[in-house]
Amino acid sequence: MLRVRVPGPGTLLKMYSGTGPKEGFSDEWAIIELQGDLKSHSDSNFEGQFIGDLHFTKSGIPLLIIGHHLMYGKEAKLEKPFALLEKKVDGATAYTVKSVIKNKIIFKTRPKPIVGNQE
Amino acid sequence: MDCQHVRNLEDINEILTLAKLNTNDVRPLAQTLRFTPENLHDNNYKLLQLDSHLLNDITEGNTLYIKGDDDDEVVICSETHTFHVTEAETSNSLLLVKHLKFNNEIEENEDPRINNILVSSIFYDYLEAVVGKPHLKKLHEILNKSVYKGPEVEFEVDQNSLLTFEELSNKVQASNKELKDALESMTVLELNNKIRLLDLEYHFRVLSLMLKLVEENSWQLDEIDFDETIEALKDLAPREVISSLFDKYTEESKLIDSLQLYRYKEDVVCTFFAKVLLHGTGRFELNEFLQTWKDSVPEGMICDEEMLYGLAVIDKTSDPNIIFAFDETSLPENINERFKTLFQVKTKWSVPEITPYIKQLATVKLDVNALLAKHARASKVDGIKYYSSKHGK
Repeated sequence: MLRVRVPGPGTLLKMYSGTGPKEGFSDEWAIIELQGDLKSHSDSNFEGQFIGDLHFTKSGIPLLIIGHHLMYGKEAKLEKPFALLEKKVDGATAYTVKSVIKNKIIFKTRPKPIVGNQE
Repeated sequence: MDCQHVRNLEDINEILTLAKLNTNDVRPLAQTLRFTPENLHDNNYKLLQLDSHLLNDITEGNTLYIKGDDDDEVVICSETHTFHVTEAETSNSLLLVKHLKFNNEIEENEDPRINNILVSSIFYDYLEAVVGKPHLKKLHEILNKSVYKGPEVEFEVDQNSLLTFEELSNKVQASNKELKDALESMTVLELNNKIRLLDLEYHFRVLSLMLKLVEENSWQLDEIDFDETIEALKDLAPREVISSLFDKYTEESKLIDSLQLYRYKEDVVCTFFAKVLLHGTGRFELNEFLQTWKDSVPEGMICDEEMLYGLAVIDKTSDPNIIFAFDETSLPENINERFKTLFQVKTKWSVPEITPYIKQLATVKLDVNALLAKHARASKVDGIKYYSSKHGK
């Protein structure tokens, strides 16, 4: 069961939904879904690291190259959209809905190794 | 993987070549993904999966509230619904990105270019919100602490513990609409903006005064005047109490010279008198009770056993038949537990008898009949349908 820490009994977390009705949200956020997990080459922190290049083939299929692996994916509409919540940090316990995420690119095929690759 | 180097088209083409592809195979925009330099995991982002209700509320710009103390299951409340929140895990990695271009957003004839896309967070879980029932136990707990027993004993009540509707709404895991509905089903009044539960004895005293007026003044039963009632009792009870009881017990009857007149509602008055009689008495012999009840209600009002449904349980399997008070709010919120308790109290229930005790758990998809079909066993005696425990004898 989820526990959201609430400071003190009865405090409520307020979720403000953007700047106003209808037009308040940006579509600027999206999800890239990868099967499994990403591992860092050197076991160092992920922060600031380059991950890979995302292309689309001429026929519109997403193509992701990470390290020596190539993956084909597809664009998908989320069956149930996500709200991206951001916790406010200025004392008041509130979440802001930054965006409603409706689309993703999902890579669920096995990565193909790029062979003959000498560095 | 190089860390700080800004990638240019040559870098990208080199990788494409290694993958046995070239620029003619791909569309002119390459998007380079990079993790944010800021803390990737310990950030303030959460994903909340939206059902159609929540999506609608959010796109309408409505405010939603996350409610719950440390020990509570967390719920999100909109103006009308309560959503139960759980955490769902996924074996996939969800990379949160900003300004990502999808295929249809790429111009065909533009020159090859690079967009840098920052991954702001990786999620392996998200919050799921499922529309459900409000938790009202706390509402009863809170209100029972500051019951209103009349102006004479207000000094006994900690005035700082009293709550306005808004304060109550912050503490109770229910939407405003659900909270209003729940308060309507209880006997509460708003006194100086604070929501108070009315003490049963005091309630009975004031209502009796109101009903006595009818007799004393020989008013016609359907010609009760609100202002006269208030005026006649102004020294005996606070206006707010009389007014809220007037709302609860009367309905509009007729207009005389554009003056709205009212009548007392027989069923609500009789049910309340039964409640007062049963209060704190334990078991009553049924026939004795019915007689006392009949004698207690105002002249002209007729009692009916059906008025007792939801208030008391009548056991006709025992000899002599008995009746005892039984309150819905004392039942467990968990549906299985509730049915278990109900069948312990009484083995066989008719549908109208049991309905008041389970209708709080019914939903649009699962109404009272469907709940009974799922959790109880039906049988018929003399053409009347009864429900008993599924696992009973």
